[in-house]
Amino acid sequence: MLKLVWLIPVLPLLGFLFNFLLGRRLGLSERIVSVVACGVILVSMLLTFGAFYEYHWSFNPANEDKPYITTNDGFPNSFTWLPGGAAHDSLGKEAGAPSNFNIPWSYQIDQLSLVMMFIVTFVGFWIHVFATGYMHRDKGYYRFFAYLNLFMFMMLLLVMGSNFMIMFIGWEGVGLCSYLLIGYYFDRQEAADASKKAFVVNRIGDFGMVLAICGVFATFGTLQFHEVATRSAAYSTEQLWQFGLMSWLALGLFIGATGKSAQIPLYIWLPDAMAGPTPVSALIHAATMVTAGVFMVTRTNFIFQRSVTMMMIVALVGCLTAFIAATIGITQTDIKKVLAYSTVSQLGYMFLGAGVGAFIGAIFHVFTHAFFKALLFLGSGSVIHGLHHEQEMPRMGGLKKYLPVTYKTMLMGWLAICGIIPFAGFFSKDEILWKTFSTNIFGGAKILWVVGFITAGITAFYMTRLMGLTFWGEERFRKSHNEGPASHGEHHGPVEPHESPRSMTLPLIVLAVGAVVGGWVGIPAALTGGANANLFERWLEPVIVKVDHTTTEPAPGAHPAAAPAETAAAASAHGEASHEVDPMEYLLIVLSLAIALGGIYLGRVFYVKRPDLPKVWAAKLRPLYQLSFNKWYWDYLLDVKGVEAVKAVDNALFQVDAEVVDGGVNGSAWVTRFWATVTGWWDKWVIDLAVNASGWITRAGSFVLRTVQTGFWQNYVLLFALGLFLILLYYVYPAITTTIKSFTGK
Amino acid sequence: MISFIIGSLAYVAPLLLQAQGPLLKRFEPTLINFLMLSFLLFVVGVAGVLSRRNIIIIFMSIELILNAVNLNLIAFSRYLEVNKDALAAKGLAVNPLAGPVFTVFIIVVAAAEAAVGLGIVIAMFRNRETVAIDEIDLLKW
Amino acid sequence: MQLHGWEAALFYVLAIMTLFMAVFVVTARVAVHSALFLISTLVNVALLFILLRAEFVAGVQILVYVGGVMVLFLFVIMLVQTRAEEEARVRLYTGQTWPAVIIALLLAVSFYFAMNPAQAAFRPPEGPQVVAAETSERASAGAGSNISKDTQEVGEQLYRQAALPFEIASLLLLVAMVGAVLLARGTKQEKYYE
Repeated sequence: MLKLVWLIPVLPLLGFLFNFLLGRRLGLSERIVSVVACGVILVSMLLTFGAFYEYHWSFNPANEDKPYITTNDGFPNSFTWLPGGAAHDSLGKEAGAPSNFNIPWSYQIDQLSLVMMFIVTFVGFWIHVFATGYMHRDKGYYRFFAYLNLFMFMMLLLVMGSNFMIMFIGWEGVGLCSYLLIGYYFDRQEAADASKKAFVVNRIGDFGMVLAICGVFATFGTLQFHEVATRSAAYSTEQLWQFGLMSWLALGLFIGATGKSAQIPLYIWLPDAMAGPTPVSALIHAATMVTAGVFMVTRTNFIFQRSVTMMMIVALVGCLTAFIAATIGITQTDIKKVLAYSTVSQLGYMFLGAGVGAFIGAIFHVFTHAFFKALLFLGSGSVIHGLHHEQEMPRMGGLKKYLPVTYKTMLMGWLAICGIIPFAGFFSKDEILWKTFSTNIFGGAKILWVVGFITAGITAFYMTRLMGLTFWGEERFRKSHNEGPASHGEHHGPVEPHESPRSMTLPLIVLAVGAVVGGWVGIPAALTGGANANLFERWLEPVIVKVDHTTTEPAPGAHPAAAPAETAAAASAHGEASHEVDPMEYLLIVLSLAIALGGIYLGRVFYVKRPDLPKVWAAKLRPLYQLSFNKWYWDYLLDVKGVEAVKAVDNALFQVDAEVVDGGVNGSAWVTRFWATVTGWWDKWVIDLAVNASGWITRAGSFVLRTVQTGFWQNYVLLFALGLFLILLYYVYPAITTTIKSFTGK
Repeated sequence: MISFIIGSLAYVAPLLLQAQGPLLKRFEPTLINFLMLSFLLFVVGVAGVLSRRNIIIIFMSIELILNAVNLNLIAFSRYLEVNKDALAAKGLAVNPLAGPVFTVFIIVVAAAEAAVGLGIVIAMFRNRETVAIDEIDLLKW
Repeated sequence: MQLHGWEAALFYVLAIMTLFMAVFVVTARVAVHSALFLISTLVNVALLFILLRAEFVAGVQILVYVGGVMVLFLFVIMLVQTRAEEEARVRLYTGQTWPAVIIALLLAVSFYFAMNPAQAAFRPPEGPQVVAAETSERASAGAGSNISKDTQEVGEQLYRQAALPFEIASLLLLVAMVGAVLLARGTKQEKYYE
């Protein structure tokens, strides 16, 4: 099956081409479109399973960290895509060394990309299935599925590409699809604005990404991940507060990641992106695309791990994002907005994990989050569908009995995200928090743990609020639906919520199962008493480079695997050497369970038992409530103050322009003019005088001389004859005198 | 009529000359006389060129000038031929026949000049309806 | 070189005739008369050539000038005949006639003075005068037995020493012919031929 991996991205591309090119022209029915679109993803998913099996089957300790790269398999698996020719390194230790800018189109199949491919195809397939029901009778049906397939193609390129360029194509491609799908309802102003916002904000991140890719090539002379990984071993770790070449590369990559994965300060596009259809939110803005940043950071961990400063920045940004997004999530009323901020918050967790060296934990959280967040989004989509496009939670409530399947599946997602013990979210979140607590890459990580810990409680609280406002409590949809602005619905009048069709509930059930059991692949060693290794960690271990963060000397061996064992244990506690369990870990597990349950209890109290409490507390904590409700004024800052600041800067620049630049220009103009006056005077009275004088003299002379020019040629001949006479006279003058003498002298 | 009278005189003059002998010997024409005739012819031609308005007559005057030159050349040729031996004795080798040959070329040039000049006259007459030289003054300032 | 006897008289007659005819050429009111006087002048000059024993040049003079060039002149006169000159009020002379005459006279006078001291230089040098005897002989014996070899000699000179100028002269004539045709050809004819 590994020989067929090229089909995995190509099939969605074919599906896209089929639907996009023929969908409108042939007026394809919804059935054909959906069968084609889902069919290609299904085949891709099966191929992914096959590749997974074959790779795992051929997996053995001897070559365990050798990725399968399709470079040698020929077309269509691999071909030279950009034959750029000879170049040379211009940065780093080997500056001046010749290199070759030949970018092959090849895929890298290893543990990391297999995990991501599994997430993308599996979750993607079920979201496709869900969308066939959700988008039923939409006039852009073929367009929607074409874009979804294109997105799948790009996302698979992103995770499968064996070099930075292929990854970057996918990176930009998913950005494009995100833009297209957020703006799917392009006739709605907010959707168009949101798509523009997403696109522009992502460009800011991509700017850093492109710079980093250029830097990577300039430094290492190649863009292939495994070669860069090998060559980066020659570079030592940059300690805290050092900011060398590796830090700059990591910074560029991380700026790209903040754009794509909605971290501070570029997270603002993601909540607005909820203007797209709900399956899009589930697939792109929760499960797959937004985790591309985490994937990329993990993929390039050999660069990140060589800069302690950047690791700290990543952790800090992740932690802050998690906390702020969670606090905003408490007060939002739009069900999708709450989930969007929840996604931002969870992405912050992932970056926190990556920042403290727990790349595997981060990917594990990506894995579990993909299930439960897709589930929650699809569940919310089902609710919205059932309520005829009503998204405001204050107009829901008590839907438990109207939407039983949705309610039960969302319950699973809720428990998973809150981190209750057997559910998926618990394992991954706990892993990240424990690694944060125990990391020794940089000091002070325990503060980050505290923030993350509190955030876990807040998460439980606002998710419970979401459940409470939606499914439990009083039924508010009937009375509120008529008076409120009928913003999103095509159908007006009293609505009766109804359960969604089978095509929508089936994915919910599948994902709910995933949300329950998904975490079981990564049960920490602590819970088994140190008997069994963490399966997920064991699987991904070869991908993560082991770097000693305490010394600035490069590892003695060229290969990262040859790094000293004791530093490997220090970097992230895994492997056979770390099977003994720290007792602190048990304490932390209990603590996080406690705070999750506390959050849930608080949420129950506030939004189910005593619905009057929120108002009371909102009044009591008015500033905090306002801060959260207005999203920490970040949008306001960017949209209003940012614009004002830019205007002020522009004004200042204008002043500089007007005073200094224009002054200089005017001054030089004045000097030029003055000098021109002087030279003009000189020109007029001296040069021109000479010229004119010569002209006058010539004219006066010619006035005399031209009287000769009669135009009457016999005059000329007369002069000619006169001249003849004179010449003759000159010659015969002696003869004349002698003749006269001879006459007179006689 | 005048030429007829002068022509008849030509029959009487030799008798007179021979009769007078040495007296008339002074008037026997030599090279000088030919040169005088040639020059007078030339002067008449020049006067014609300078004073007439009709282009065709000016052309004719030019022919007169050319003929004066021809006469000059032939006279010198004859002079050299007659005195060839005497000049050779003085150490001067001369070719008396160069004169007639050169005259032939002058006649050729005169013919060519007349052909082209008269062509110009015709073209000009066609355009300006005149052959008066003082009306053709476009070159005037 | 000295002409004797009736040859001398003939010279004077021809000289006077030539000069008178030349003056008539310049002063004639009608162009055709002018041309006819010119023919007379040319014939007189040709006779002078014969006096100078240049029979070939005399023949060429008659054939080319009188027979060719003058006919051309007459044709042109006919073509451009405006008959304006026949009216008395039409000016024959330009405004500079008197200066021209004065300059001509000045030239003549200066020439006279130039000739005067030069006469000695142009005297025949001491020594035998070959042709004089021959001419006297020819004169006594009559024209029958003694045929002039002038034409033969000039021809030899023309085709030997002066062969290249001769060819150049023929080329000049060709060019003149083409040029004359081109100049004289009017727009009407051009249209006709096109």
